[in-house]
Amino acid sequence: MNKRKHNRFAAGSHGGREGQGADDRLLDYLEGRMDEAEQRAFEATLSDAGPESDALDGLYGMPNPETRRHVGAVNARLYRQIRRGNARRKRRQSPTYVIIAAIAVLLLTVAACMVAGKVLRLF
Amino acid sequence: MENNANLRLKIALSHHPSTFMNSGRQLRDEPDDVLLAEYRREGDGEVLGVLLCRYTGLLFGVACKYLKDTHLAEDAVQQVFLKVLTSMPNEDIPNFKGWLYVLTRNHCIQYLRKAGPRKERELPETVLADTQEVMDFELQEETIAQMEEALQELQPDQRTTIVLFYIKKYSYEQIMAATGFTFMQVKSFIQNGKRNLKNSILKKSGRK
Repeated sequence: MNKRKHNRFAAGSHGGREGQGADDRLLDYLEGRMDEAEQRAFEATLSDAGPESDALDGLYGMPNPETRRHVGAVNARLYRQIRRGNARRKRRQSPTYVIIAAIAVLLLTVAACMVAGKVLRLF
Repeated sequence: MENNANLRLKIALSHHPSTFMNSGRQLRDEPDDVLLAEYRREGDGEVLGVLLCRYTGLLFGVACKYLKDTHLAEDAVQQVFLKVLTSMPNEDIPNFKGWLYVLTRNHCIQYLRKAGPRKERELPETVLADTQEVMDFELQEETIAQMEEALQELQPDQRTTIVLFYIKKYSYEQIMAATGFTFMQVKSFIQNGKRNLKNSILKKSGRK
């Protein structure tokens, strides 16, 4: 991984708030967008082994645009998956889908009965 | 080239959590447990999307630490999200962030183990430590002053950073300026110093 100067202190690193979750304090910290109290509270969490500490180890030195690009790419894929999942869910819940599914089941049952009848007649 | 990169970034950022809306209501400010309960009640993936997006950066960082490759890390977070979307457990999850963190860490460890012994050796030592034990020990800032004896037993670098951070209330940046340590050194000295301080105090009180 390309480790450059730690991005928290990189010049001109202050970007917009796009691409960031409400609780994603990590990126706020890395980009120096926290006030003193928030920064102090966040740095206190770094003194324990845990998510923030591990994540900071991983992102240390990575330029901010690169971090944001990767985070944005994961979010974009998640967004697409969710849209697809919701569309499937809506299709399954729509009356047309239920009617079509019921007709299909009925037709399959009738066909199965006919085949079973023919097989029984053979014996 | 630069323009292409900017365009890709713009597209990626256009899918940020505020894009996830539910019936016109903004979900961004709802706490984790409320969103989780709503997702379980309604089964709306967008609610879960808002929740997961909160931790993308954090989990990506965790995956980067273990896998040491940004593309592998991206895939790892993606797979963890997929796992959550397709098989969210029914039992209560009181700490969603902690749960996601453990899931991601385990996913990365599993990947490194599958990748072979050479990769497995790259596992950070901290994985082997009982992190919960460290997290359980809440070092109260006001009690630090009563720890003089234990502090004296620390290595000088650890003692300096602990004193500057907890007693003099310096920020990491100020400690770096005052000592000439790098950011990671400051972080490591404080983390290890705090753990050693805990062990020393527990030893003195006969609890270990």
